[in-house]
Amino acid sequence: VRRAALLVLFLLTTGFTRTETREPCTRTNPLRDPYFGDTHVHTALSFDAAGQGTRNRPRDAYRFARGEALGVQPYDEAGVPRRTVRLRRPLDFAIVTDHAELLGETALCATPGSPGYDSLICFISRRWPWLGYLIVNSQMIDVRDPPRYSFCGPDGRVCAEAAAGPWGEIQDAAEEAYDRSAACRFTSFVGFEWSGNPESKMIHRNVVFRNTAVPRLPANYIDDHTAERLWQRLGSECLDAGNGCDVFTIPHNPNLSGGLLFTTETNGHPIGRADAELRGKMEVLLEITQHKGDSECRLGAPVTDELCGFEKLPFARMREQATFWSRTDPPPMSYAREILGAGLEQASRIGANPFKLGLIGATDTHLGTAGMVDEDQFIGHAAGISTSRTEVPPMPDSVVMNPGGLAGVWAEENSRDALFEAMRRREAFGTSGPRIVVRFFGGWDLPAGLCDAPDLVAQGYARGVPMGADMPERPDGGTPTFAVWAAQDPGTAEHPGTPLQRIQIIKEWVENGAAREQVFAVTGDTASDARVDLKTCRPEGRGHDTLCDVWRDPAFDPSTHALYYARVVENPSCRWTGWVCSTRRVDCAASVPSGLEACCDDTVPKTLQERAWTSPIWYVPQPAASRSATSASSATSGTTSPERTNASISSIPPIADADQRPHVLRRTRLVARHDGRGRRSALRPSPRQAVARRPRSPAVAASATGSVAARWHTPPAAPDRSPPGVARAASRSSAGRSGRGGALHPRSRRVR
Amino acid sequence: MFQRRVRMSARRLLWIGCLLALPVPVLVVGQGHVPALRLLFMGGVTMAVILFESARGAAVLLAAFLIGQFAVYAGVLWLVAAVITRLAGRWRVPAAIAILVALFAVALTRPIYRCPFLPVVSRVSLLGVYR
Repeated sequence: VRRAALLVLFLLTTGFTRTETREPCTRTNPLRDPYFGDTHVHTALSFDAAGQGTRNRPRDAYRFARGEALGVQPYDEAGVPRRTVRLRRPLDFAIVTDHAELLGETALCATPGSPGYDSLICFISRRWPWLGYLIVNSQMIDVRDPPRYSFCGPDGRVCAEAAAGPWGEIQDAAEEAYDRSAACRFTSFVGFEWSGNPESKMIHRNVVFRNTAVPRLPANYIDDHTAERLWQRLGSECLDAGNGCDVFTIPHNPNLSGGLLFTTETNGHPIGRADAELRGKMEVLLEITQHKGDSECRLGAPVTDELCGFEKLPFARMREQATFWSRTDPPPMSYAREILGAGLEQASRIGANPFKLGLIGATDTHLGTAGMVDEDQFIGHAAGISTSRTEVPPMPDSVVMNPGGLAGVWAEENSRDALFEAMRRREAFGTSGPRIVVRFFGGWDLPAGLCDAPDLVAQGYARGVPMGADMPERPDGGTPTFAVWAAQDPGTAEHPGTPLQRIQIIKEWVENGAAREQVFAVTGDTASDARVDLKTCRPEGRGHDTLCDVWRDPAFDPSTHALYYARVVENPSCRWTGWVCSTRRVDCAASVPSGLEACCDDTVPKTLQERAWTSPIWYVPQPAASRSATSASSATSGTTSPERTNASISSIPPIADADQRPHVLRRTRLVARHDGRGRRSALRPSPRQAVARRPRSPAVAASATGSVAARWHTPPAAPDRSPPGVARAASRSSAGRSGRGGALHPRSRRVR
Repeated sequence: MFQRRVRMSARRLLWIGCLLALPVPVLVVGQGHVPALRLLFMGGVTMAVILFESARGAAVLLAAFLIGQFAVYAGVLWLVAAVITRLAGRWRVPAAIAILVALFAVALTRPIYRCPFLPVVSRVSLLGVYR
């Protein structure tokens, strides 16, 4: 009865507001379904995409996202594309986010008779596009105060107004692609990218509008040099316009921002509460992965999380891709974990968290190929390789690039309002490409057996909060407990997905004013034997198609701010470089074809472990408790020790070691096994698997999480075979608890 | 004196011909093989944009890369031409002419260049490069 009452309360207090005229969706789920999309797509309207030979326009990008084939460069002299690509599974939503900078200039340069068409820079861009690209791009990515070209007039008005043309095209394309019928097959949003690059440090932000109410012109870095000015403009021209306009921004590539994307200063002053609240209102999501690298966490000291080495760029600024002799390491605030931690520090200091960011993935394609993230389909980023305009290079891009990721959004239906509100409340997750589905709930009294409950999701919502939210008010003696459930990407019949390997929970908290972090191995195989046959790119070894666990923080301090997010890791699979080398049958013992030298370079990774990241769940201490607990803590432990504050993660004393294991309630389930040759032998095929194997499975197990749990049976208890010290992650405690989990024994159950 | 003039003339002839037609690798600013003079031309165009549009930042670096590469190739080719003319002895002029005729014959008839600056096709002959 209590559960039902809580669920009714949840259903009554949630939902979304419809701000547009459209048919209601036939398929709605108050407990929400996962929808996959790409929030970062460029087309020929972007100056750097056009300079790379991209001819696809916003309409083409949306057609592609909906599953149609698309031609891409190089084009022959008759204008016929020499490559055609198509998504294996359509997306549920997409956002074309062309650069707002030079939007007008790019249009003018391509329109005969327009002012500027005959200017020197336009002539160069048409006649020698690669040189034009280099000149324009080098200016845009390097100058703090980029000027307008002379043909824009003394005040730049000509070009600013010319942006109205492509801006209208973006809106029209979004409207045409949006499925307003009851089928709700596809959702588009109007958006653009504000692309600041002071001293080649990227402080880019994608701007996403909720509906058709948008400003007359997009804001751009040439006119508004700071994020604060961008938000002010969006405030005055959208949020305060009184026409139903609603907006948020999605920053990306902190790894290339030189630490400038998120700063704890505003106009030279330490960030204040009002600034923090403005940021929190305008920026709700962070793009954690895309073509230009992963931005989750830093590899190397002081962090000892070995999974941080995933898709890292070897340079800290875009300019350094060319000036390889002057490459530098990314400074602090270049990775999500550092940024989220800084947010906690600020919350402790000023009472508001300026960096309360959910996590998503995207592509940043400059070809108009939204959501084309499969490693074996990668055809390049199209903003950086000189030859892709005119020929098909053997390696489609620089080996440090990658196909990018996707955003997963938990929403009631596939409509603009539902998806927008879901993203705003950060109920979203990022993947490095595969359509892994992950649920993450936090609460104070989530039952240990939640993974076996038929109503996991309903209970998760009723008794806790989903990813992206703050923990509910803490009851006396409460310890945060988290339920995390993940399902592998089923893929398609011809291209099945890769099984899951493990789930981790990453905790960050504030200690003596400084952020700390720890990685906990929660469930799955930390010592998996899974690997890849590089000759065929066939995965080998066992894995899981679902994992679930309820985890309790073993070292919770109610007086400090904290956050928790989950990371779901797949078994190893071929990276795009591995696919290229395998497909071309490169034999390093024989002569290596020109352009494929990277195949025989051991420093170029050929495999990877794809993954998904949930948005965090934050714990905000209650003021009174915080004050009393902090003073008590300081009095007893003398925690002002600077050594402790500055200690590396590996030097943190173990928080949860063997004698604390009862804190961790583990339930791991192996539903399918892999026979060692990459084939899956379903031990217990379920109806959900059948559903999930359909080619179009955006909502993979759609409401899977609610219903699948119902089909789980309580497995028999199994002896503990956890090998110590396997998952070193960033914590000794996690290593101590890591184990093979359910991989050893199907239906194994461990409650420690 | 006369010998020296002839040698210099042959060397200059060979040097200029190589600058015009010998494909050299494009470094940093693209991938391909173009005549060195093409790099100078592109560097000049970039300089023109810098002057007329007050371009700053990496645009200056770009021009420096292009003109710098030309300067390096010009120096190397000058040395190569000097070695060839010295080795050819009294046959230096016929040798230089023979080399240039062969070079231009191939350059004009075969797509030996891979030019990253062209809009559609990258593999072109000498006429394609300077079209």
